[in-house]
Amino acid sequence: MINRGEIVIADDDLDILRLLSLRLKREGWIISEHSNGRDALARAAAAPPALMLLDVMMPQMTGFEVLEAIRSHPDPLVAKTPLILLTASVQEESEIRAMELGADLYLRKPFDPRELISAVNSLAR
Amino acid sequence: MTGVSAALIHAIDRTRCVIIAGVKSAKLKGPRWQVFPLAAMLLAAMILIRFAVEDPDEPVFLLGILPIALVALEWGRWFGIAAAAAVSIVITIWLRETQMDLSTFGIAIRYATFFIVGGGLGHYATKLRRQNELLADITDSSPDVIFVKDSNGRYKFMNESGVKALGRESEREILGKRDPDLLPPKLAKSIVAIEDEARSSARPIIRELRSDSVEGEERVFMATIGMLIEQSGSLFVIARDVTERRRAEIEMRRAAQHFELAGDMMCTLSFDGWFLDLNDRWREVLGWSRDEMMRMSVSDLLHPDDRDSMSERWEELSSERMEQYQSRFRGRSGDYRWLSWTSSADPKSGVIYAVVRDITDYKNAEQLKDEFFALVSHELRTPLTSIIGYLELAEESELDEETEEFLKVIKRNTKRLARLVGDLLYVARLESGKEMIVDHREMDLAKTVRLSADAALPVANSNGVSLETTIEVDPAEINGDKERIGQAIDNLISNALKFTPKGGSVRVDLRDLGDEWGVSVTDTGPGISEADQRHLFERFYRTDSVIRAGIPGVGLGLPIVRAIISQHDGRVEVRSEPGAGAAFSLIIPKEMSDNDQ
Repeated sequence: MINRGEIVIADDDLDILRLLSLRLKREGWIISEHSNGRDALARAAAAPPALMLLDVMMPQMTGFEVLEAIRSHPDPLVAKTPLILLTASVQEESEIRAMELGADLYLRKPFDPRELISAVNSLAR
Repeated sequence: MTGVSAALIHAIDRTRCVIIAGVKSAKLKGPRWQVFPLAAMLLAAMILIRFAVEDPDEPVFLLGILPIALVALEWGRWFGIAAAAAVSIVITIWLRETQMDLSTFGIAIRYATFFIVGGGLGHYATKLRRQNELLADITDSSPDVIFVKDSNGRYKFMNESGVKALGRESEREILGKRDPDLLPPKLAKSIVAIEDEARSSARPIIRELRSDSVEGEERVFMATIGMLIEQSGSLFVIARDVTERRRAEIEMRRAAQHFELAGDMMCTLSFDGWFLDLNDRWREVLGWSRDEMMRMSVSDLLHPDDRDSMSERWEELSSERMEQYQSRFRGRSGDYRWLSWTSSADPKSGVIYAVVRDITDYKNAEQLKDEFFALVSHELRTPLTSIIGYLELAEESELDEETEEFLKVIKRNTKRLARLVGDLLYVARLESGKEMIVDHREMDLAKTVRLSADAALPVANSNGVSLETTIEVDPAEINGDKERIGQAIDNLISNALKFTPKGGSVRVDLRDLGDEWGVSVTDTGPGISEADQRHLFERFYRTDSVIRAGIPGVGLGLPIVRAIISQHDGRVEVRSEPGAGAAFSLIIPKEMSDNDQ
């Protein structure tokens, strides 16, 4: 299996975190798992990943807050990290907000794993 | 001479009445007739003077002057005098022709003097008559009933309104008569009583009178009754018909009662937002006293965020239409209450009428419901995501045939659950009235139809129902949300399969209808009665036959189909007859109107 870059995943639901991690590992990605937004942000800032996959509703830092911090990061390499937001919310407004803040994709749970994988493969750098 | 002049004036006065009556009736008949009484008077004058010349006694002379003076009276001052002078000259010449034993000059002077006196009297009488006429004109043009009675209770004068109110044709039918001759006994009696009261009072009195009018409908009069000082014993009455006003007052009192009794807040406002009147409900809801409210305008109380929308609504207000809108108002405690307004306006009088309901509790419940749905959706969908994800992972592992079968069942049911959760949330969102974001992209309707039909094939096969798909145009491109449209077609096919018995068939067609695409799903099931067709698109509606047959479902499929299709500017059509199957068609325009893009 080819070794691809690192993907930072953050979700406070550990089952989903593991599911995403398992799926993407099978695609050959290296996965950095985090159960909250702040850790994910720290990791991404320290070593800019190929892509970030963030749940919206998380403790300490929400997906939106991480997204905002990434996009306004002084290091252009960090600021341009491809980023996918995941949510179980039905609020239409949050999708608009995600797009305004510069998310590359906004996926609703439950999502089709194939859709997620193809999105990750095409967006990751 | 004094006695003679008094007799003269008296005679003038009497005759004047006759002349006026004659002239009046002549006037009624037309201006041409006015000449006749005047001509008759002139003729009488000639004859009288002729006699007077034969026996020149003063009073007879005076009598001779009289008719001429009356002519002058009728024609006015200057013309009367001129006419009298002219006539005197003619008479003088005529007397001379008949060889009277008087000097022409003497006779002329004498006659001229009499005529000038007559003209003066005529002028005085004219003035009097004009004053009388003015009075008559004024009283006749008044909508009030005005009349004068003498000390014996006989009518001396009545204006036109009075004549009309009594149902008579002219004043003459009334003059000289008394109340019992003219009025129903009860009214006559009550008038007499009031008149007695007025006679014993120094000032005019005001009393209410009730009368049966000619049409038999009760009418109410407000009467001012007073004594005429100049004519002892006479009294005047000015009575105003206040029936309509009374009725309006009763109506107003009733409205005022309702105003206070109403469970809703009610108010009238000026267009610049000041309270003109309000009921007590306002105090109960907002806590401000009536006086406090009257000193505040709407903008003092309105939530800053609602100011623009409220003023927009007010600009649209008119008397023809009721407007409904909602806004938040600040209560005395500082809390805002949600108020639902129903108002109309009368721009002429500048008044806005409003009935206002406190819907704060309802709004709170709404918000709670929204929050509840958001929470439930999150809490249901997160575990569903895990279940489906791990099921798919498990399917990819090496498994024995039985376990693989079990996993398939779990997955099918999980997907059903996921879809139900999705449907419930979709409907809840539709109900909340919020704008739905529709992901409109270029899509191929033919592909979507084919995908839905293919997905339904296993179910059709296991039900023993044939599923045929006819695609007339391929590709069929539109701008739309392919997930949603796919869901709508899925729902229709799934319904058709549910209701079609073994051996039946379901047909899915995509047709080009010119400006629109038509996707129809036709089955050979039991059909839908007309009564049921009316309710098909209501949420949670399930027909009796469906419930009896134990066909699964919650009654959300068709409402969702309709919601999705209307978001694409399309419509859903149903054709069905009991026993002859059903056909559902989605009609979607090829080009959506620009404002939806």
